Amino acid sequence: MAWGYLTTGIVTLISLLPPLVAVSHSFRAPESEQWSGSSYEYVMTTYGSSLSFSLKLALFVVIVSLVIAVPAAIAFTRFPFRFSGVIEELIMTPLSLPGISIAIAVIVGYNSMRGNWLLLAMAQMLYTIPYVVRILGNSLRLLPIDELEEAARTLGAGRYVRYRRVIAPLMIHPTVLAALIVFAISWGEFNVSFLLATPTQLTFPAALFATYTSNSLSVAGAATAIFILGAVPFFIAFQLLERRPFEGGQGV
Amino acid sequence: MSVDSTPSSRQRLGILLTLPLMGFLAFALIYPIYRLGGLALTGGPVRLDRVAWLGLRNSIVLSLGVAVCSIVVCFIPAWVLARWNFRGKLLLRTALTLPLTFSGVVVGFLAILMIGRVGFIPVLSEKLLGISLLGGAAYTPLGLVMAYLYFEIPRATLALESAFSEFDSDLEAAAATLGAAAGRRMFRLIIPMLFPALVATFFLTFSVSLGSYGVALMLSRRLTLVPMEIYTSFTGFLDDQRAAILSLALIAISLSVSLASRLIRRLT
Amino acid sequence: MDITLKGIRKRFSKGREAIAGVDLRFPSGKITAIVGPSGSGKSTLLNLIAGLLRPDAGTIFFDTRDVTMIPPEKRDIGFVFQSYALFPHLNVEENILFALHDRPMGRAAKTESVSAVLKVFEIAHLAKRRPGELSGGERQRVALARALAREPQILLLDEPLSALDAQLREHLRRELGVFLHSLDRTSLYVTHDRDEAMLLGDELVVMREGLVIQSGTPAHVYRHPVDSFVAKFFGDANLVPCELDESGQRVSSRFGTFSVAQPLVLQPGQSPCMLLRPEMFVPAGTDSVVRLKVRSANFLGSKWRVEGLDVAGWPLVVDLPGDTAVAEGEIVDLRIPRSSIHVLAVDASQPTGSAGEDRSDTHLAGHIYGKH
Repeated sequence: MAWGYLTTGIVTLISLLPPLVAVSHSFRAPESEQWSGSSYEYVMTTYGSSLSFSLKLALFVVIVSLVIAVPAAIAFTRFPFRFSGVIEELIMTPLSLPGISIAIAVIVGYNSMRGNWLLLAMAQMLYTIPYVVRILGNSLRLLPIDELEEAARTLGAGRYVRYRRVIAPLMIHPTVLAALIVFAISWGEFNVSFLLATPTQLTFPAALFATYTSNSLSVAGAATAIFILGAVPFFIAFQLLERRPFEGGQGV
Repeated sequence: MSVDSTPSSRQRLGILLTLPLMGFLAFALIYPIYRLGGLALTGGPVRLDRVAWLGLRNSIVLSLGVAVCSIVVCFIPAWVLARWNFRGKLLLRTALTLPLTFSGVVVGFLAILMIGRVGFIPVLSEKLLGISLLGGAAYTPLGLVMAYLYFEIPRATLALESAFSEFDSDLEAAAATLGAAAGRRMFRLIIPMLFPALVATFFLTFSVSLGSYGVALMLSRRLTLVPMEIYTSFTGFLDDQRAAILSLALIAISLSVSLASRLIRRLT
Repeated sequence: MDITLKGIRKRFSKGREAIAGVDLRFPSGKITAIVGPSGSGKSTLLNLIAGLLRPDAGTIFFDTRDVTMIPPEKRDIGFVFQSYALFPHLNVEENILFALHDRPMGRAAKTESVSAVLKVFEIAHLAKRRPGELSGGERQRVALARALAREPQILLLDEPLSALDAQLREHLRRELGVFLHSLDRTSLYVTHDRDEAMLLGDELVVMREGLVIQSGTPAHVYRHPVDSFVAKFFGDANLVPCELDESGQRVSSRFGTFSVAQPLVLQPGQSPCMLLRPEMFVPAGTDSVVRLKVRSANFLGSKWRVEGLDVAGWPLVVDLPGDTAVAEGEIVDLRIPRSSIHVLAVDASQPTGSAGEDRSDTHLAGHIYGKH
């Protein structure tokens, strides 16, 4: 039991100390004579457009990822066909391939579209779609959906009622979970955003890099703090959501 | 017992539902990789310069080191998470997965903050102990390993945790009743049984480190690493072909590693 | 409402026929227990009747209505699943409310109806709980309540007690039996447990490898099993070889001669065996026909379950009154106070002896082929 507390202590320290240090730097004023006011104000003014760009991009990626991946996950688990296993494996591959290679491949493939934010979105979705498929797939495989659907049929439920009142409600939880993870991934994605970065098409992580190469630690710290702020709420939400909403459900 | 509509109509529905995904797969993954291959192979046989080979060697060695360290370091936290229940467990899990949200650049920056020339640790140790520890370490191989570790520990721990939680504790109890002390149990029973999971995590960590770009971008000053070579070829020298070749090399290494991991798991 | 099955066949893609041709009639208002070992097809049959599976061949009629092609939601059935299949995202009240989804009643009327159902099943106190928070026995009751909320004409139960632990199962078995009988509704009850089947069923249907081997009342099936499989399924059975006389109406054996209870037809390669149940033996004095050397005696309160060998070395399982004294190694004198005996035709390759539930097989194995 003591091991547990000891490990927790050490890991927490190692994990949280660096970000805390970063944030602590942020409260000093930027080491620049041209700016009066806090580092945070500086970041918001200079990179505010990146912030909104990242948020809008993330929203787009969430919606499109769900639209593409959720039906596919349903197909893989409930309506499998001859090559569905292969396709499922294929869509998972970007997760185990080197990020830089994928980024280069996408840019090489669509060189003429480098300035188009859709290319960036598509590249991000290479990472988000596998997560949606995995999360939804696990949930659908875990729940005895076939049997619940049969039970609904014996209770006189036609196809529409079954989907609306039994299957759809059970899919809400994993879908929300997946949406949160997709948002967090898109928000933090760096590889492709950096390679495609232009002044008008700057994601917040790429902007973050710009602050890191500037001379101002406090600005860098402030930008990092804002980045963490954007990621952490979603991350906490999905830690909580991870606990299954219905313990068991039936059977022994 | 599945709902008894005709099997072929279910299959057709499955195909229909997967069409958007298949389209995405073709456009976003298959075509780009095809183009990448084409680019790499233009102009005859594939050749790499000495710097590129050096980078490959460095990246592989570095990633192997990180992978080994990850397993060693993450073993205990993963075990604790998987097998024990105690107050503050949620805190442990939260603290552990927080770094997951940081991309490589952020981790690189944090490394500079902590063990750079005037990083937190050297400054603190100077004040407390009179000697500055790890000052400037961020740009050394050691610093790189530490940064990569920070990046990998959440992933490795969670991967190990899920494997550990599936381990049947009855087996351990049986071993204990047969007189095996904790050390013996660990090394003769638990580790051998968990070997496939350890192998899988090892290879996963290796692959992720190999391709990790952000950390290299921030910290690889004196050390040549492949992701940086790819980047400089692509944006700096505009030698797209070299970038393509190196990218494919990384993909090839990752794929063979993943296949090897699966083979090993199937054999044990 | 009675159920008529004609020529039902069902094969799954794995190859073997799950149902290899079944013709059955389930009488209206009665509880029919469908029994058999696992893999016999009994659950498949139930699913076919429910409409959850479609037969490859054959017809299913509810009274005079052909329902073979009608989907389950239109068949007006109630189904209790082995794992209960309670909707995990709804509480108990909502689960039962679901059953009324297509009733043209107002919300208030439906809620009242559900309350009434909850009261009948004594689960009103669980109304707001989720299935995940209920015990096995409670879930079972909710599953039953939900299945009956629509007052279907037919109730189908697929091993409803097998998900419970043994003690609870025994207790609920009796409760369920009483309850089902009070319903006065055509009910089909699938189980692999012979005690459950005999207790609950007004009629029994015995299945094996996709076919109906025998059907009838529990008493009939117990006393006149159609083959050694059925005989041993429902209890310990001593199958003692005998000889049929020319008229085919009497048999003789070393335990005496008896008249044959039902006419017997022997196929080539078959020989007649008498079915002697353990309770058919009584202690005897000078009129003893069986001298049994006791090898093991288990005291069960109301009786002794005794296993032993007769003088010819033939293994027998007999029941003796509980108020006698029985000890291992003793010789007990017994007789069979009956004039007619049920005789089975047994294939020469099948083991006879008294192997009832396979547990007695081990030490009797040496005598399987009737040495001595």
